[in-house]
Amino acid sequence: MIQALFLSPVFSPLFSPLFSVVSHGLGPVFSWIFWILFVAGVGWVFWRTIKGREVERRVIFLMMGLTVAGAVLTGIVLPVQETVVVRNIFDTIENLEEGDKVLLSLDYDPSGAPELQPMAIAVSQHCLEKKLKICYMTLWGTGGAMIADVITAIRPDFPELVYGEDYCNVGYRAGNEAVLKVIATDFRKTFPTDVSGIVLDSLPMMTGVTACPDFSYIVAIGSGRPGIKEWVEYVVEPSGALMGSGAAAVSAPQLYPYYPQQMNGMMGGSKGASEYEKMLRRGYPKYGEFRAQATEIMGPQTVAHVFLMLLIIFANISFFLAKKRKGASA
Amino acid sequence: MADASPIGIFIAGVLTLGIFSFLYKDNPVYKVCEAIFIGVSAAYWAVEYFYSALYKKFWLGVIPPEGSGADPDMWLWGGAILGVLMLCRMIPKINWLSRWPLAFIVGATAGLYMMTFFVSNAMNQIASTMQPLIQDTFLATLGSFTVAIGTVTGLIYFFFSKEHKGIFGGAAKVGIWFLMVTFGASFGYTVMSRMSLLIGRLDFLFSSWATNFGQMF
Repeated sequence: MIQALFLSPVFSPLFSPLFSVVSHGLGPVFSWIFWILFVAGVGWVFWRTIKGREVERRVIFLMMGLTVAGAVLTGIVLPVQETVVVRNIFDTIENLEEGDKVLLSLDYDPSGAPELQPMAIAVSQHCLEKKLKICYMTLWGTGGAMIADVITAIRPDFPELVYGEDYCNVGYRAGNEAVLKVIATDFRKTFPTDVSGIVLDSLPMMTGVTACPDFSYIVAIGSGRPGIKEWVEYVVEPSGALMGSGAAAVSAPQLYPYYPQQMNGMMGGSKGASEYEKMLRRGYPKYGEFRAQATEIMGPQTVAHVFLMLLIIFANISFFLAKKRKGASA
Repeated sequence: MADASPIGIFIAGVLTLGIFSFLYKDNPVYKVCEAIFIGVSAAYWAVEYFYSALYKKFWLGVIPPEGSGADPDMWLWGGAILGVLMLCRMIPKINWLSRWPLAFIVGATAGLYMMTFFVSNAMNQIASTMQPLIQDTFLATLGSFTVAIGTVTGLIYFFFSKEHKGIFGGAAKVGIWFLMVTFGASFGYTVMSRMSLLIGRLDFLFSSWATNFGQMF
C-alpha cells in the first residue's frame, strides 16, 4: 500500500527511485550501494548543518557529480506524466495527411543537444511514420551539425527514404531575424538551394512551397536567440503559420506566454522531450525497443533535483539555527 | 557524434574532464582546455561566416551559378560596402566611417522590431490575458482566475505612485508571491537545463568515451 502511494502520480517523481532499483548496466547491487551512499551523503550534510559547520562548495560539487553519475549508471527510469502542451504537438502531427510538409528548424548548438536533440529525433520519427515530408533548416551556424546528427540517427529506421522526395535539408543561412522575415513570405529568396547547393526547385517535395505558411506545420526547436521567440514574431504573427516548439528548459518559462495563441504546443526541456517520447512509444510500439534519450535523462534529473531541494532546505535550517544562536549569545 | 573518429572521441573526453577540473580549482589543464575551446570556436565561426555570408550569400548572389535561373542581386553590393566600412574601425584616420554601418544596423533592427515586438509581446499578450473567467472545466476556470489575480496583483506590486498599505499593500504582497512562484519555476527550469548538460556529458563519458577508451587501450 505504501509503495502504491509512493508510485501515485503525486509522489512518484520523488519516491519512485527508491523502488526502481532495476539497473540497466551495473546491476541491482550497485544501485543499492548508490542509494546507501546517497542517503549517507545527505545525512552527513544534514549533520554538519545541525552542528553549524560549513560544507565546502567543492564537496557539494563532488556530491552532485557523484549523485548524477550514480543515477546515470544505475539507469533509473521514472514514470512520465503527459501534459496538454506537449500533446497538442503530437496530435497536430498525428492529424496531418500523408504527404503534408513539415518545416523543422533546429536552432541550437551542441550545448543544447542533450535536451533538444531527443525532441528533434522523436518529432522526425513521428513525421516519417506518418509519411510526412520534412524540410530541415537552422538559424544557427552550429545547427548544421545537429541536423546531420538527427538524420544519421533516424536513417537506419527508414532505409526507404529518398532525399528530395521524403526529406530535405536547406541548412543554415546567416542573417538571424532577417532570414525569418524573408521566408515568411518568400522561402526561395533566402534558400534558393539546399545545403549541398542543389536548386530547391529540383527537389520534388518542395514543389508548391513558396513561403512558410505552405508548410502544414512548423516545429521550431531552439535554445536561444534567434529561436522560438523570433519565429513567433517574424513568421507566426505576420503569416499566420501554424507552429509548435521545443525549448531548452532555461528559456521555457519565458516562452509559455506564447501558448496557446501564438504556438499551439511546446516541449519544455528534457521533460517535454520525454513526454513526446512516451506518446510516440504508445502510438508506435516499435519505438519501445529504441533508446529513449530524454526519458533516460529524467531519472538522473529527478535525483539531482531532490538533492538540490534537500540542500536548499538544509541551508535554510542552517540560516535559522545561526540566527537563533546569535540571538542566544547576544 | 555519429561519425566521430575514435581519436576525436578520446580527445573530447579528455577535454571534458579538463574543463570539469575547474570545479576543484583553477589549474593549467583547465586553462589549456579553455584556450582550445575558444580557439576552435573562433576558427569555426570564422569559416562558417566566410562560407555562409561571403560565399553563399554574397558571391553566389552576385554571380549566381549557371542553371540556377537567378538574376544577379546588385543590392548585395550595398551590404558589401557597409561591411568594408565596418573594417575601417581598424584604421585610426578613417575609423569614423565605421559609424555608418553601425547606424544602419541599429536603424534597421529598430525598424524590424518596432511593430513585430509590439504586436507579439504586447497586443497579443494582453488579448490572451483577457479571457472569460468562467471556462468549460473547473481546472480551466481556476486557471483563468489565477491568471487574472496574478496579473492584477503583479501590476499593483510595480505601481509605486501609491504607498503599499492597507488593501493595496495586501494585493502587492499577493503579487510578490506570484512573482516568487514565477522565479522559482524559472530557477527549477534553469536547474533542469544545466543538469541536462551534466547528464549529457556524463552519459558521453560513460558510454561513447568509456567504450572507445576500452577499444583503444
